[in-house]
Amino acid sequence: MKYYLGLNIDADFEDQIALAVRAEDAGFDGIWSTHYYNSPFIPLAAIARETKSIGIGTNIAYAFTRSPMETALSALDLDSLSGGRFTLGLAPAFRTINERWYGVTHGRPAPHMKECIQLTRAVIEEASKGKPVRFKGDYYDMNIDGWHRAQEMPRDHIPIYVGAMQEGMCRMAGDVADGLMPHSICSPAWIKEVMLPNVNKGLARSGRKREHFDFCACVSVAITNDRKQGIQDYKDTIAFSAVTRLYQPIFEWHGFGREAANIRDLFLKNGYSQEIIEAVPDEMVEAFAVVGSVDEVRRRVAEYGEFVDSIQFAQNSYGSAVSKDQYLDAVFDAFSI
Amino acid sequence: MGRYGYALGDTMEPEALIAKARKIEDAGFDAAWSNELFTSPFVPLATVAPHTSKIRLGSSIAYGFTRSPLETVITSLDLDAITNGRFVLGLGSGVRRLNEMWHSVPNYGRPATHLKECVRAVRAIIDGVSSGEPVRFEGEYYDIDMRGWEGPHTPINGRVPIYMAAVRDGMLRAAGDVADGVLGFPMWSLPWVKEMVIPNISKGLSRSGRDRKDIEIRAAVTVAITNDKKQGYRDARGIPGFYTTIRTYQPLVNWHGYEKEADQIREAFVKLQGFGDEVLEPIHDEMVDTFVVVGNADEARARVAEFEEYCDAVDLEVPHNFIPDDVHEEYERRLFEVFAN
Repeated sequence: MKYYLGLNIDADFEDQIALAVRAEDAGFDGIWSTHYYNSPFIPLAAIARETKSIGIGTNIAYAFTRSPMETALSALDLDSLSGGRFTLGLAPAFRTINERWYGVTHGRPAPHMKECIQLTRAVIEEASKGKPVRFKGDYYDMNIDGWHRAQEMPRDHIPIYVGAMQEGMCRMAGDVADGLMPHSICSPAWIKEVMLPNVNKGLARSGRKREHFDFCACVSVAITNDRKQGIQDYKDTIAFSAVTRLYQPIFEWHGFGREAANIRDLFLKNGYSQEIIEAVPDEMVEAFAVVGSVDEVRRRVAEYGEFVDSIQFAQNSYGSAVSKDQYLDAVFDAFSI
Repeated sequence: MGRYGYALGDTMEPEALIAKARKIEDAGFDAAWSNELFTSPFVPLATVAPHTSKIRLGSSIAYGFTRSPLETVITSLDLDAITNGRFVLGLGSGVRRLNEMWHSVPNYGRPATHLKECVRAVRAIIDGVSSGEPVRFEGEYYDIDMRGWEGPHTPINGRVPIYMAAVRDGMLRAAGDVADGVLGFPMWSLPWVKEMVIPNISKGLSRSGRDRKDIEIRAAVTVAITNDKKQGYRDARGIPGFYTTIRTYQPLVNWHGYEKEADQIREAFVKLQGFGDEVLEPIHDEMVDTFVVVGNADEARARVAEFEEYCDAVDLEVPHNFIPDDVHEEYERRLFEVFAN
């Protein structure tokens, strides 16, 4: 199984580069950027030069906020700069973010993503070699002729992954993507019972093989001998997810529909507060995060290997800086090669 | 000595890219630029940022309409942070065909109005990041309503400078209206600078209540330093040759009185379905001389200085189209020798 780490999103660039180098030295297989506060591409452009062997990728870049050709140019550059180590992870983001913040079309996310991935790939693999790309779909109308990539390309195929949670997007990922990156609230049960069957449906109907697909679980881990504290330290991360309307069905499926609705109501009334953190019961953390001693966490992470291909260790984003660093150190101690 | 800029070039090999950036910095130039055609305009700047300390790093240019303003903002704020405040966001409209056919841009519209609005939208979002206030921006091309977003970092110097690439009157006035700087175009001749660039930028400045000192005007001048003038003209033909084939620049070429030559160039281009000797044949020495500085070191210095009477800085280039790499490199070597501060 492969192990990936996420970049420290609230750190400055020097610290982000340092974490990437540390992850490489520790033998991790990849370091992933995000898209929210940071551009998904800029930190990786610096990291590409400062590392030698570790995979670099976006988990994820919003897909609809720039043209497929813009996305392809950034992907081609990062693949060149890293000598063929780049993975492009794309996800649709929320409707509000796309339509109100970015001013772009959201539409039906799975069909939109499918067109976006196919076109981005067509620019990377065909237009780059001077082949014309013509496409008219529901979301894009493109006709590239007379362009080519003047720079050397380390390889012909750059893997494109999808950030997905729900059935339709999982089937679409199975249709066209090279891998899938779920959110950290996708528990083993959700992955096994909802996501994988749909990925397999997509793979089967498009005649592709499971072994060529990287299903990368995102796992929240808290390695600690103080279980009670570990659970407490993850409550704000869970609370943060529970305020999101789109995630309510997933909490409901896991039997936490009432709790999640309550957290969301409290948030809509008073914003982020201690109150919403206290509204997260211990069992809700345990359903979505792996909390325990180093042996226990190692054992439970190994269980993931029975149904996924790789794991990204999610970092608890909202706890205190001290506890965050300690938890990260513990991940390095437990999973370095 | 003057303020000069130079392009980072097209390499995506990290060591070569960093070496180029350092060379530009060591020459005492004030800016290194990346462009958008084969590559992203932003990605290479982040790679060289940690390996330079003085020069400004900017996009010259990034297309304005091929990504959303907020996407441009988060990219710019990251580059501002990683360069420690040395980033310049240079935006251009790009031509209509490229926007519509390559980038599937649905609303190219009127490029000067669109780009002006784009600059205002980008600035409104960056200001919102600094103040923490919700951003509401409604225009002809953009409708942005941001609540609940907190920016990662505010600009290092309180502001990210936004430059606009401009060729003709409408875009020049638009730049005078809203931009912190204007990025020149290789086909800005000295007469074009005097009669079109400066008057139209001034019009924009004065109608928006701004002063000449509120904007940095950067000329873009191709320089072929050689004692063999005849060969220099020949090597530099690709500059007017390339741009004359693009319909958008037809009015500029005609304004200079080269309508007949332009017709021949385009006819040959259509016939050959691309570039070739026949396309460059109609370009005579005088036409090259209008758009390119060709001459020995003293002549080159003197003619670049003429641009500096009107412009605040000059982004230098050397002949590069349709000539062997070693010839291009020799021109680059001489340029750095003559213009290094």
